[in-house]
Amino acid sequence: MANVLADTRIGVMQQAFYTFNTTSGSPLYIHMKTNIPKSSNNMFYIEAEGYNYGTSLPVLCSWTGYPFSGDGNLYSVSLTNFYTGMNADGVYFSSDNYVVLRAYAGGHYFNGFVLNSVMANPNGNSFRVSILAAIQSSTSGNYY
Amino acid sequence: MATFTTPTNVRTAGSGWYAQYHLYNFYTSSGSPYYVHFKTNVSTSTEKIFMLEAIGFNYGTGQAIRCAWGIYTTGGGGATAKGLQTFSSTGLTADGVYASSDGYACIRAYNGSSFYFAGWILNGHVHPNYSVTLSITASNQNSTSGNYY
Repeated sequence: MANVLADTRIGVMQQAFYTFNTTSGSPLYIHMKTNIPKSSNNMFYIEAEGYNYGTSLPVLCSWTGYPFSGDGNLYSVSLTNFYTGMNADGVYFSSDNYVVLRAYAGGHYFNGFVLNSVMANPNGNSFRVSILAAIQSSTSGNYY
Repeated sequence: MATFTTPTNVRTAGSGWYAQYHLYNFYTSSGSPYYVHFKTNVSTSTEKIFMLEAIGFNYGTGQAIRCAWGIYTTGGGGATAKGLQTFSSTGLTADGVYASSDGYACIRAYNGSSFYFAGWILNGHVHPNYSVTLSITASNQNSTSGNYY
Protein backbone atom coordinates (compact mmCIF):
# COMPACT_ATOMS: atom_id res chain seq x y z
CA MET A 1 0.00 0.00 0.00
CA ALA A 2 1.25 3.46 -0.83
CA ASN A 3 0.51 6.32 1.53
CA VAL A 4 0.91 9.42 -0.57
CA LEU A 5 1.29 12.54 1.52
CA ALA A 6 0.94 15.05 -1.25
CA ASP A 7 -1.10 15.45 -4.39
CA THR A 8 -0.49 12.86 -7.06
CA ARG A 9 0.09 13.61 -10.69
CA ILE A 10 -0.45 10.84 -13.22
CA GLY A 11 -0.02 12.09 -16.76
CA VAL A 12 -2.68 14.71 -17.44
CA MET A 13 -4.57 13.77 -14.28
CA GLN A 14 -3.99 15.29 -10.83
CA GLN A 15 -5.48 13.54 -7.81
CA ALA A 16 -6.15 15.47 -4.60
CA PHE A 17 -4.10 18.50 -5.59
CA TYR A 18 -6.04 20.55 -3.05
CA THR A 19 -8.15 19.82 0.01
CA PHE A 20 -10.74 22.00 1.67
CA ASN A 21 -12.60 21.31 4.88
CA THR A 22 -14.73 23.31 7.23
CA THR A 23 -16.65 22.87 10.47
CA SER A 24 -18.85 25.89 9.75
CA GLY A 25 -22.27 25.16 8.31
CA SER A 26 -22.45 28.64 6.86
CA PRO A 27 -21.85 30.79 4.87
CA LEU A 28 -22.98 28.70 1.96
CA TYR A 29 -20.56 29.49 -0.85
CA ILE A 30 -16.95 28.41 -1.36
CA HIS A 31 -14.74 30.25 -3.83
CA MET A 32 -11.50 28.67 -5.07
CA LYS A 33 -9.12 30.73 -7.17
CA THR A 34 -7.05 28.62 -9.55
CA ASN A 35 -3.75 29.35 -11.23
CA ILE A 36 -5.39 29.06 -14.69
CA PRO A 37 -4.87 32.47 -16.28
CA LYS A 38 -7.55 34.29 -18.22
CA SER A 39 -6.72 34.04 -21.91
CA SER A 40 -4.54 30.98 -21.36
CA ASN A 41 -6.57 28.75 -23.71
CA ASN A 42 -6.36 26.01 -21.07
CA MET A 43 -9.43 23.79 -21.41
CA PHE A 44 -10.06 22.43 -17.93
CA TYR A 45 -11.97 19.74 -16.09
CA ILE A 46 -11.80 20.08 -12.29
CA GLU A 47 -13.89 18.06 -9.87
CA ALA A 48 -14.52 18.07 -6.11
CA GLU A 49 -14.77 14.68 -4.42
CA GLY A 50 -15.61 14.12 -0.78
CA TYR A 51 -18.34 14.04 1.84
CA ASN A 52 -20.57 16.74 3.26
CA TYR A 53 -21.70 15.62 6.69
CA GLY A 54 -24.01 18.63 6.90
CA THR A 55 -26.05 17.51 3.92
CA SER A 56 -25.43 13.81 4.62
CA LEU A 57 -24.44 13.26 1.02
CA PRO A 58 -21.29 12.40 -0.91
CA VAL A 59 -19.69 15.12 -3.00
CA LEU A 60 -18.77 14.73 -6.65
CA CYS A 61 -19.21 17.76 -8.86
CA SER A 62 -17.25 19.27 -11.71
CA TRP A 63 -16.43 22.55 -13.41
CA THR A 64 -15.30 22.79 -17.02
CA GLY A 65 -14.45 25.71 -19.26
CA TYR A 66 -12.23 27.34 -21.84
CA PRO A 67 -10.68 30.76 -21.16
CA PHE A 68 -10.22 31.94 -24.73
CA SER A 69 -7.31 34.24 -25.48
CA GLY A 70 -8.98 35.62 -28.59
CA ASP A 71 -11.57 37.71 -26.77
CA GLY A 72 -10.88 37.10 -23.08
CA ASN A 73 -14.19 35.31 -22.53
CA LEU A 74 -14.89 32.04 -20.77
CA TYR A 75 -16.52 29.48 -23.07
CA SER A 76 -18.13 26.09 -22.77
CA VAL A 77 -18.64 26.26 -19.01
CA SER A 78 -20.44 23.29 -17.51
CA LEU A 79 -21.43 22.74 -13.90
CA THR A 80 -22.22 19.07 -13.27
CA ASN A 81 -23.36 17.58 -10.00
CA PHE A 82 -22.84 13.81 -10.07
CA TYR A 83 -23.39 13.38 -6.31
CA THR A 84 -25.10 16.29 -4.68
CA GLY A 85 -23.55 16.88 -1.28
CA MET A 86 -22.20 20.11 -2.76
CA ASN A 87 -22.90 21.74 -6.10
CA ALA A 88 -20.63 23.28 -8.70
CA ASP A 89 -22.22 26.72 -8.73
CA GLY A 90 -20.21 28.89 -11.08
CA VAL A 91 -16.99 29.81 -12.82
CA TYR A 92 -15.69 33.37 -13.23
CA PHE A 93 -12.53 35.42 -13.71
CA SER A 94 -10.95 37.09 -10.70
CA SER A 95 -10.14 40.78 -10.83
CA ASP A 96 -6.48 39.81 -11.31
CA ASN A 97 -7.39 37.51 -14.21
CA TYR A 98 -7.51 33.93 -13.00
CA VAL A 99 -10.24 31.29 -13.27
CA VAL A 100 -12.24 30.95 -10.05
CA LEU A 101 -14.55 28.05 -9.12
CA ARG A 102 -17.61 28.66 -6.96
CA ALA A 103 -19.36 25.89 -5.02
CA TYR A 104 -22.60 25.95 -3.06
CA ALA A 105 -24.37 23.74 -0.54
CA GLY A 106 -27.34 24.21 1.76
CA GLY A 107 -24.89 23.65 4.62
CA HIS A 108 -21.19 22.93 4.95
CA TYR A 109 -21.14 21.60 8.50
CA PHE A 110 -18.10 19.31 8.54
CA ASN A 111 -17.86 19.33 4.76
CA GLY A 112 -14.57 18.10 3.32
CA PHE A 113 -13.39 17.41 -0.18
CA VAL A 114 -10.39 17.19 -2.47
CA LEU A 115 -10.00 18.66 -5.93
CA ASN A 116 -8.92 16.48 -8.87
CA SER A 117 -8.20 17.70 -12.38
CA VAL A 118 -8.07 16.12 -15.83
CA MET A 119 -6.34 18.34 -18.38
CA ALA A 120 -6.87 15.96 -21.28
CA ASN A 121 -7.99 18.25 -24.12
CA PRO A 122 -5.84 19.40 -27.04
CA ASN A 123 -5.55 22.90 -25.53
CA GLY A 124 -4.04 23.05 -22.05
CA ASN A 125 -3.03 19.40 -22.17
CA SER A 126 -0.97 18.50 -19.07
CA PHE A 127 -1.26 21.98 -17.48
CA ARG A 128 -0.61 21.62 -13.76
CA VAL A 129 -3.48 23.12 -11.78
CA SER A 130 -3.18 24.58 -8.29
CA ILE A 131 -5.32 26.69 -5.98
CA LEU A 132 -3.98 30.13 -5.12
CA ALA A 133 -6.66 31.03 -2.56
CA ALA A 134 -9.96 29.74 -1.19
CA ILE A 135 -12.64 31.09 1.13
CA GLN A 136 -16.06 30.17 2.49
CA SER A 137 -18.24 33.20 1.92
CA SER A 138 -21.79 34.46 1.52
CA THR A 139 -20.97 35.97 -1.86
CA SER A 140 -23.08 34.40 -4.59
CA GLY A 141 -21.28 36.29 -7.35
CA ASN A 142 -17.60 37.12 -7.70
CA TYR A 143 -15.52 37.17 -4.51
CA TYR A 144 -12.00 37.40 -5.91
CA MET B 1 3.66 16.41 -5.14
CA ALA B 2 4.20 12.82 -6.20
CA THR B 3 4.47 12.34 -9.93
CA PHE B 4 3.88 8.85 -11.30
CA THR B 5 4.51 7.48 -14.73
CA THR B 6 1.45 6.36 -16.62
CA PRO B 7 -0.37 4.17 -16.15
CA THR B 8 -0.26 3.97 -12.37
CA ASN B 9 -1.44 0.74 -10.80
CA VAL B 10 -2.74 0.50 -7.25
CA ARG B 11 -2.74 -2.98 -5.80
CA THR B 12 -5.16 -3.89 -3.05
CA ALA B 13 -5.72 -7.13 -1.17
CA GLY B 14 -5.95 -10.20 -3.37
CA SER B 15 -4.18 -10.89 -6.59
CA GLY B 16 -3.85 -8.52 -9.48
CA TRP B 17 -4.18 -4.79 -9.89
CA TYR B 18 -7.35 -3.23 -8.69
CA ALA B 19 -7.16 0.39 -9.84
CA GLN B 20 -5.18 1.41 -12.89
CA TYR B 21 -5.13 5.15 -13.45
CA HIS B 22 -4.53 6.98 -16.69
CA LEU B 23 -4.38 4.06 -19.09
CA TYR B 24 -4.82 6.41 -21.98
CA ASN B 25 -5.37 10.04 -22.95
CA PHE B 26 -7.55 10.48 -26.01
CA TYR B 27 -8.12 13.89 -27.54
CA THR B 28 -9.32 15.21 -30.83
CA SER B 29 -9.91 18.50 -32.61
CA SER B 30 -12.41 16.93 -35.03
CA GLY B 31 -16.06 17.40 -34.20
CA SER B 32 -17.04 14.33 -36.18
CA PRO B 33 -17.35 11.42 -36.82
CA TYR B 34 -19.22 10.58 -33.67
CA TYR B 35 -17.81 7.27 -32.50
CA VAL B 36 -14.48 6.49 -30.84
CA HIS B 37 -13.33 2.87 -30.56
CA PHE B 38 -10.69 1.64 -28.11
CA LYS B 39 -9.02 -1.74 -28.37
CA THR B 40 -7.69 -3.24 -25.14
CA ASN B 41 -4.96 -5.80 -24.56
CA VAL B 42 -7.43 -8.18 -22.89
CA SER B 43 -7.76 -11.38 -24.88
CA THR B 44 -11.23 -12.81 -25.17
CA SER B 45 -9.71 -16.27 -24.77
CA THR B 46 -9.21 -15.52 -21.06
CA GLU B 47 -11.92 -14.90 -18.49
CA LYS B 48 -11.66 -11.37 -17.06
CA ILE B 49 -13.93 -8.90 -15.29
CA PHE B 50 -12.99 -5.24 -15.45
CA MET B 51 -14.33 -1.75 -15.80
CA LEU B 52 -13.09 1.21 -17.82
CA GLU B 53 -14.15 4.78 -17.01
CA ALA B 54 -13.74 7.97 -19.01
CA ILE B 55 -13.24 11.33 -17.28
CA GLY B 56 -12.72 14.60 -19.08
CA PHE B 57 -14.25 17.50 -20.95
CA ASN B 58 -16.07 17.76 -24.28
CA TYR B 59 -15.54 21.34 -25.35
CA GLY B 60 -17.72 20.82 -28.43
CA THR B 61 -20.82 20.14 -26.36
CA GLY B 62 -19.74 22.16 -23.34
CA GLN B 63 -20.10 19.19 -21.02
CA ALA B 64 -18.09 17.24 -18.49
CA ILE B 65 -17.35 13.61 -19.33
CA ARG B 66 -18.00 10.72 -16.95
CA CYS B 67 -19.09 7.32 -18.15
CA ALA B 68 -18.08 3.70 -17.65
CA TRP B 69 -18.05 0.33 -19.38
CA GLY B 70 -18.43 -2.88 -17.40
CA ILE B 71 -16.75 -5.67 -19.36
CA TYR B 72 -16.65 -9.45 -19.16
CA THR B 73 -14.48 -11.52 -21.43
CA THR B 74 -15.87 -15.01 -21.50
CA GLY B 75 -12.72 -16.98 -22.11
CA GLY B 76 -14.47 -18.48 -25.11
CA GLY B 77 -13.76 -15.70 -27.57
CA GLY B 78 -16.46 -13.25 -26.55
CA ALA B 79 -16.55 -9.87 -24.83
CA THR B 80 -19.81 -8.61 -23.41
CA ALA B 81 -21.03 -5.47 -21.71
CA LYS B 82 -21.93 -6.03 -18.08
CA GLY B 83 -23.26 -2.60 -17.29
CA LEU B 84 -22.76 0.54 -19.31
CA GLN B 85 -23.35 3.72 -17.40
CA THR B 86 -23.31 7.38 -18.39
CA PHE B 87 -24.21 10.26 -16.13
CA SER B 88 -26.99 12.36 -17.61
CA SER B 89 -26.08 15.59 -19.38
CA THR B 90 -22.48 14.62 -19.92
CA GLY B 91 -20.37 14.80 -23.05
CA LEU B 92 -19.67 11.13 -23.77
CA THR B 93 -21.75 7.97 -23.80
CA ALA B 94 -20.49 4.47 -23.02
CA ASP B 95 -21.97 2.97 -26.16
CA GLY B 96 -20.85 -0.63 -26.40
CA VAL B 97 -18.46 -3.51 -25.83
CA TYR B 98 -17.38 -6.07 -28.42
CA ALA B 99 -14.68 -8.54 -29.36
CA SER B 100 -12.28 -7.57 -32.13
CA SER B 101 -11.79 -9.89 -35.09
CA ASP B 102 -8.42 -10.92 -33.65
CA GLY B 103 -9.85 -11.66 -30.21
CA TYR B 104 -9.50 -8.66 -27.92
CA ALA B 105 -12.02 -6.72 -25.87
CA CYS B 106 -12.98 -3.36 -27.34
CA ILE B 107 -15.17 -0.50 -26.19
CA ARG B 108 -17.10 2.05 -28.19
CA ALA B 109 -17.81 5.65 -27.11
CA TYR B 110 -20.34 7.98 -28.71
CA ASN B 111 -21.53 11.53 -28.81
CA GLY B 112 -24.14 12.45 -31.41
CA SER B 113 -23.39 16.18 -31.44
CA SER B 114 -19.68 16.90 -31.44
CA PHE B 115 -16.23 15.83 -30.33
CA TYR B 116 -14.71 19.22 -31.19
CA PHE B 117 -11.66 19.65 -28.95
CA ALA B 118 -12.83 16.86 -26.64
CA GLY B 119 -10.37 15.09 -24.37
CA TRP B 120 -10.55 12.42 -21.73
CA ILE B 121 -8.57 9.81 -19.88
CA LEU B 122 -9.41 6.17 -19.36
CA ASN B 123 -9.00 4.59 -15.93
CA GLY B 124 -9.34 0.87 -15.31
CA HIS B 125 -10.60 -1.19 -12.39
CA VAL B 126 -10.01 -4.91 -12.36
CA HIS B 127 -11.65 -7.54 -10.22
CA PRO B 128 -8.86 -8.88 -7.97
CA ASN B 129 -9.73 -12.46 -8.88
CA TYR B 130 -8.91 -11.78 -12.53
CA SER B 131 -5.40 -10.42 -12.63
CA VAL B 132 -4.62 -8.36 -15.70
CA THR B 133 -2.60 -5.24 -16.37
CA LEU B 134 -4.75 -3.24 -18.72
CA SER B 135 -3.60 -1.17 -21.66
CA ILE B 136 -5.12 0.42 -24.74
CA THR B 137 -3.43 -0.82 -27.89
CA ALA B 138 -5.33 1.25 -30.46
CA SER B 139 -7.99 3.93 -30.79
CA ASN B 140 -9.87 5.42 -33.69
CA GLN B 141 -12.53 8.11 -34.21
CA ASN B 142 -14.88 6.98 -36.96
CA SER B 143 -18.51 6.58 -37.99
CA THR B 144 -18.82 2.88 -37.21
CA SER B 145 -21.70 2.19 -34.84
CA GLY B 146 -20.88 -1.52 -34.64
CA ASN B 147 -17.52 -3.29 -34.53
CA TYR B 148 -14.54 -1.41 -35.94
CA TYR B 149 -11.60 -3.58 -34.90
